[in-house]
Amino acid sequence: MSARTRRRERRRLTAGEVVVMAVLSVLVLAVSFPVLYALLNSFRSYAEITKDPMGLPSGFSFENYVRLFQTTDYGEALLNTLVITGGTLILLLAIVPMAAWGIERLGGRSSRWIYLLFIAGLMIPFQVRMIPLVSSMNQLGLYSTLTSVILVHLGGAASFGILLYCSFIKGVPREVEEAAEVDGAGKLRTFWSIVFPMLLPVTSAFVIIQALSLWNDFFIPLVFLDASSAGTINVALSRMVGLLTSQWELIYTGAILAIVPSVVLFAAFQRYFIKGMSIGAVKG
Amino acid sequence: MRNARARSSAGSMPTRGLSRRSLMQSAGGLSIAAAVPFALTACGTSGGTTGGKTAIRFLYATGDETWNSVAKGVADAFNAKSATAIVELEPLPAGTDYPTAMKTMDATGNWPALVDMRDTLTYLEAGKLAPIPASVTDLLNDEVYAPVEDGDVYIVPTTALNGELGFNMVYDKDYFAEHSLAVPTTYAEFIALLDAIKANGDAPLATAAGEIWPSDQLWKPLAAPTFAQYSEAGGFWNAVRAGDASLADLREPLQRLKDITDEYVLEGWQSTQDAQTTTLLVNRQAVMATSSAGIGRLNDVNKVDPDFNAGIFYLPADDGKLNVLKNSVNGDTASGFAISAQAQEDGKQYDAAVEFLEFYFSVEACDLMEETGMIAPNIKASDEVVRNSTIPGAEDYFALLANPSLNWFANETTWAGFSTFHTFFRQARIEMQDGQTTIDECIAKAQEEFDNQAENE
Amino acid sequence: MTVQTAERPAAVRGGRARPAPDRRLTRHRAVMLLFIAPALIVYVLMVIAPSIQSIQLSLTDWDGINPAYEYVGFANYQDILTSDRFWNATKNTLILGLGSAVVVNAVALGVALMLDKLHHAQGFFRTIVYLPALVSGFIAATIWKYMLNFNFGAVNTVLRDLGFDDAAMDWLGDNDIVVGVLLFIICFTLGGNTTLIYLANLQSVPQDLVEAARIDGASRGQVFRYVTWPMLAGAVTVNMTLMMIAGWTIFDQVMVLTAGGPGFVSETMAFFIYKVGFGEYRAGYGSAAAIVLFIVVLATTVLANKYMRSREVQA
Repeated sequence: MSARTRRRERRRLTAGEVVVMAVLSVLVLAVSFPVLYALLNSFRSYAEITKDPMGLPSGFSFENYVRLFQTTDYGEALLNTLVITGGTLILLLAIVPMAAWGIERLGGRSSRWIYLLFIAGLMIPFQVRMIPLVSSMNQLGLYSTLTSVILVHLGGAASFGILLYCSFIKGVPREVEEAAEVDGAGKLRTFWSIVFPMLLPVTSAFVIIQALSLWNDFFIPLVFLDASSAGTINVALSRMVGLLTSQWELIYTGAILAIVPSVVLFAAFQRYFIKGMSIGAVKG
Repeated sequence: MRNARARSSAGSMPTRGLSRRSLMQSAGGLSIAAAVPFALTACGTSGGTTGGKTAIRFLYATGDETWNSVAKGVADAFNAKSATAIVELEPLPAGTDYPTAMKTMDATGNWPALVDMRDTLTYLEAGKLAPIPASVTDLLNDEVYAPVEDGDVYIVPTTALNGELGFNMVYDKDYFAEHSLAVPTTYAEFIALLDAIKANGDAPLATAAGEIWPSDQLWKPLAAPTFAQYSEAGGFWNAVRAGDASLADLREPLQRLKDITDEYVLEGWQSTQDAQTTTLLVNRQAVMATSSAGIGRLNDVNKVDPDFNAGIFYLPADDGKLNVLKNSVNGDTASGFAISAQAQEDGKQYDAAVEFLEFYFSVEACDLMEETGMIAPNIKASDEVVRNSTIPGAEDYFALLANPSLNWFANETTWAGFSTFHTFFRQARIEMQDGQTTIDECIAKAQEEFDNQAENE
Repeated sequence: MTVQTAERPAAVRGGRARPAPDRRLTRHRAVMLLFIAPALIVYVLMVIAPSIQSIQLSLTDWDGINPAYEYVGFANYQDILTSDRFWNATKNTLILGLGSAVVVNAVALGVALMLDKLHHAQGFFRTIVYLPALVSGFIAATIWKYMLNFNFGAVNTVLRDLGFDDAAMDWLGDNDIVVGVLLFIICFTLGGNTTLIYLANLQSVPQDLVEAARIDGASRGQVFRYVTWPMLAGAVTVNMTLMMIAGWTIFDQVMVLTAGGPGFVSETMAFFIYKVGFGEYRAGYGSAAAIVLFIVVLATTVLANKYMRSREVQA
């Protein structure tokens, strides 16, 4: 019955399994219908979509995909989204694992308070800090820059990162790092050359979870990027829903293009992903 | 399309920064947006002379194909004609925004001779703009420009300023012909028309409230007769602030709004988005649709279904008048050409800029703009301009401009809190149209919000 | 997530119990603090400081633009708490938060149980079950909005084609059902992670226990009730908490699907804060609403956690 034994013995397909597969397939089809709908419409022209919103494409023309990059800021928005996602991830990895290790190895009452302070962030909705942040960014001249979005994301993701890393580090034996210290390695070197590699499972999970949520985020870039920036993918798409006409053919095309990287990322790393989910939350 | 898009997202859900003006713009400037998303125009100080001619740069925002062609077409024609000046096109690349570009130019002291201003007041007060001479303004209709306190004019429109004339009913001309229906000339005739269509078993009118702002499309023409009464006295909303009027004065138009919604509007309007009414129209799910884009909407209909025979009319008042809100020409929402103070210092550049503007407002240039698909500015000699009527229904729009029943009225709202109230009022109206509240409740709620906002000013 | 903190002292004690010369310890601690510093500084600047500033702003009449503002005491709070609009938003927030937490957890647990029963192609199904969660809430909502159109949307077209004309409704425009429709669509985008957490938990249930129970003659239902379910209790608490926090702060879907309409009927607190803070230039008022939202999130999270923890013990 267990996942482990199950893989070893090749069982016959039971009737129950077939039913489960069927139920899951129906569920998935129903849930994925919007994506399928967007995919089909990305091959249709504006006139076709407007005239018959539910029609099927008459052919598979990639004209919309070409036009999306030629006539809109989508390319720039795509680049912005990449910079925000990549930049935030790199910075998160530079500061969060180190801080979590520091908290775990600091000991004492202060360790507990610092941990609590970080975890409290999970309960502070973004809306609570939104208005002061916008005005501060404005004063600093950072409003409507990618830097502001990255900074705001960093703060938001730190809590989850500390939670994830701390619960993992608790299971990491001290002996290895202590041995390294005896060898005379500095703390920083010990961390990056000995500890950090041991955190790889949680790191990959953290990276994937964060990458998806950063890629898909809409609210933070909406608030922090105004019309002077091309925005992120989602912001650019929201701007295509227009005052006079909405460029639906391009919106659907842009939506499909935005989904592709997430699906590829998930399909490639789903093993780590699932492991990460269990590390992070199960221990509660 | 770029600027139209950027502005529209701000209009429906404003983000910080440019939102305040966008909000007002989206209310007041829809028809302009339809014709020409803002263009940035700029000419160089680097200039100098080219073959004895004074060269000026013409910097403008790209993105909208119509405007790109107009800019290029008019500049080419000007260069071919002028013996003294030459205009160099300098497109502002897509993604570059207006305020940043302006600030950069200002900081580097490299002001263009000609600017399409939006933050007119800011730069005017900073002394960056030069007065536009009478040789230019004389070419224009009196109501599309105005002197500021010092008696000089600093901004002239780049395109037609037709106020809210674009708040039209778009209709199916073939259906009207088939059922011998005529465009109404009074409000009573409009109701009779709705009844006749309903009697045929068809849905008379599609409207949209899926976003909040399109709810103005039906409301504003209905309320226009009431607003127009206060035109001379500084506008309805200022009268409400001064205590000379109240939200209760809008009871009749609100009642009409409610009655039309209940009786004649196609079901599903609450979640229908503005652009989707085109779908409803071309699929004959409704005979008429509300719109605020004037020719822009006709263009859209034509793009979707070239065979659709569309027409437009403006909702008449009881007395047959077509009360249309006119543009603010100097206020916060005004936009258009300005000449820079830096060009004035240079002298020659100023002359070249003036010469270009004189050409821009000539019949020849206006014909060119019309040919390209943009509505030409309101020049005195507009009768001589050859209007582009290739889009089905466009002739109706131009006929409206010449309609003797047309009554332009002003309703300036210069206080910032108004946009907050306005959004609230739109939502409160939708709530009332939807039957969640009564008209009395709607009025009371809106009045309370108005008082709150006015108090906070 | 407060839960997590309860377990903390163990590690702390571990740290303290390790004997070390005082000087070394001090140096060690100083270095560790340096390690914590960068993240802590960013976090305090980006999360804690603005949150505290929000409390300050909530006592002012600031418009978000003009640098000058005045302190108005608790006037904003008074306005908010006496505003029907705000209470309606609060009601919607609670419906969406609690509703999505319950629905998503029930469905996710069901799907996880089904996945766990699969002996073939589990990886494949695990991937496709997660697929909908890969699509951003914004994009999903944008597409749904078109599909739910009354006159030509896919949903009503299908219903009418099947002959259920009466069932075709103005899903996003009918003020009686619009909040329910929002709930339905929100659940779609939130379910993926929850399913995976449950699946990971299910797969860590010791099989000996299950087999022992089976040998003792327990039915499938009994095994679930007395063996599997107690093992899942921790995951239920975590998932419910995460879902509720996500639900309270839901924004993208509301903004895209209804923009709070028709009228004000489907506004949520998160949307309300954005709208008054940025759209209506009432930053002070918006901040006050944000603080109220925070109190709601804090109170419900703590209460729900307490309740669920007590259940866990009993189970």
